[in-house]
Amino acid sequence: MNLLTFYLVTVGIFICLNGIQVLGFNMQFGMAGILNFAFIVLVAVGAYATAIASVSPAPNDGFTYYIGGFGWQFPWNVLFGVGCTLVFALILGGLALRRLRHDYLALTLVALGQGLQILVLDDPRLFNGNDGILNVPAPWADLSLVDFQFAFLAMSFVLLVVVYLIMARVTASPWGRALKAIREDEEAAASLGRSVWGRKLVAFLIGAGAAGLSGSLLAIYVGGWNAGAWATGENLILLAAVIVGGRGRHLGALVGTILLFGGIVEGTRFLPAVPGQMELIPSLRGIAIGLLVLGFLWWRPEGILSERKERFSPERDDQGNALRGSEPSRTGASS
Amino acid sequence: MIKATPLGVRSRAEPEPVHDRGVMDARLPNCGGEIGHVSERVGRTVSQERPQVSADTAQHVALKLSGIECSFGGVQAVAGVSFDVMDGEFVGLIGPNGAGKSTLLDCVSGLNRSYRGRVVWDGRDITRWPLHRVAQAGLVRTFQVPRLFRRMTALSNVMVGPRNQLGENLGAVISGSWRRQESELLAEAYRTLRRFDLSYVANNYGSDLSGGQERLLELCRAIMFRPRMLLLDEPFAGVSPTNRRRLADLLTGVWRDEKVTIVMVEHRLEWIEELCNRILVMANGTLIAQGSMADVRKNREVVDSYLGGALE
Repeated sequence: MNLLTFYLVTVGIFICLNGIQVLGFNMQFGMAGILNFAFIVLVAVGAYATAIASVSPAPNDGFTYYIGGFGWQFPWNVLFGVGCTLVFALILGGLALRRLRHDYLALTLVALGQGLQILVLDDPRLFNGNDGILNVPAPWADLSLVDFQFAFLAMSFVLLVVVYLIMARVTASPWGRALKAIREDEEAAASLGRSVWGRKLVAFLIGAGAAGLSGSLLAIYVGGWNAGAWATGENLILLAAVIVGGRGRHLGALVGTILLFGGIVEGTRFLPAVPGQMELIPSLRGIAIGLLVLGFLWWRPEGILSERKERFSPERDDQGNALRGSEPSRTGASS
Repeated sequence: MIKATPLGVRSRAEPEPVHDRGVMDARLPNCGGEIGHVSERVGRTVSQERPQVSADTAQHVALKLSGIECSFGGVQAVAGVSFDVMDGEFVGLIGPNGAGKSTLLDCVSGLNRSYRGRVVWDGRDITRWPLHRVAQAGLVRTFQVPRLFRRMTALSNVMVGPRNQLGENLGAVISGSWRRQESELLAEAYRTLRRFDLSYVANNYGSDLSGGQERLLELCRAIMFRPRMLLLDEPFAGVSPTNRRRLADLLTGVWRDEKVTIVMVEHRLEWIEELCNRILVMANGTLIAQGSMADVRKNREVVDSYLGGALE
């Protein structure tokens, strides 16, 4: 395996894992209308939970602290990570979705994400602060590095496909239809007997499950997780991927993932560094993503793949012949 | 006069009872192609002899409001309103702008939950229940400005209507067992759209419909829910004159054939007069009169406060 193949497999793994995140974000934002600026916090909960479940207890060396350290094997550590994320999301969603809506909810979640990050950063007793939890063991220790790479890529891809299929199945149903109705007009949906809070909470949990899964897998693939990995800005890349790809469309979320994570984030790594300006390229990357989002919102707000109209079987007459459903059957009678 | 038939007892296959709605009944089955002003004239002439489905004939109090009060800051929008609505009634709620009609509707439906007083629906106290629970109890409202799901097609909008869909249970969604019910609901949705003459816009987005179509679609969606009572907030506003006739016929159909009790806030008195058994008049947050249009017309206070010369 040459270096390029190795690199491409690594990028493939990251795209798959980020794709799971973007699908989850799209479930919350695109389908349920919850602009969750704390999405990356859910990813972090999954990652930290998996990390502390996997590693041994903190050594008594005076500068490494973290809670937990259960030494669990794969896949139990990942399941624990996803479970913790769901519990966290249940509490967060149960509280935040109850009263807050739209911009206020988004603002509250931004503040929450920022606050939690500062908390973890400033109190190293929780998750070892900025240094983070290291040496999270990778699964399948007996595999060679090359085999491990391919195995992990295969697993990530299969999980991405599974998450995609689950979300596609769930949203292409009356449940998904009612969820979109709530996104469009909460009060109108409530006037048809739908519990806005309950529906949004379930959608929030489905998205959180994807976040937790992605975070857990990132932690065991990278071998660690620290406070810098879930800066609030990471949410903006997720948001950009959904807006560029097409909100409310799962395939759009994947297209957005490939463009944003595969194209812009990876592509800008190959730009030559400017001497003495270490922060220049990352800053320009942020600016480029911002401009891309603005451009799409201005010229193509629905994204590359626009949300599809719900498809129904065509109307049939008594003999079972399809009628022309969308064609005007008569004209000029409407107001 | 013929007494109103007990509602809900008769099956739909039996012949229609005569509600003594005079000329109107004979005209109702014919839904299409009528011109608004003719019927408005007919409605006027018929109304005086129409019977009231009121306390002595109807048998069951569906909705009972007692002492509803609601204020916004220092303004008391609704100041102690009490009335009953019987099963099978078609009640019109009128009054000048700012009388508190829509606020009252918001309170009863649970859209606005900061009110005082008591709301009893079908023997159950539903005071301050949230909107979705009031709806689940069978009491569905429409809005003064139609509220469609704009980035969904007209057909999808209507398909949100039916309550307790199998496919809204995630277990059934994963197993796929909901599809059978879906095709039945779909057939019903097409039927309802056709009845409202909306089938040719079935695949248009909610945001692309005209004002009148929005009204009809919102009503369509509410009917798919199969409510026991509809609270309509100005259903005729924004509907073209041609379609008003059609809408009136549809409302009559829903009321008579589907046995839906209707409470309607409306400014166009000709439709109130044609459609409603009983009229409630509100002014300054209180109920100032009720009865038939003839009763209301004779009421000096009503004429002074609202109707002015309109009915002289």
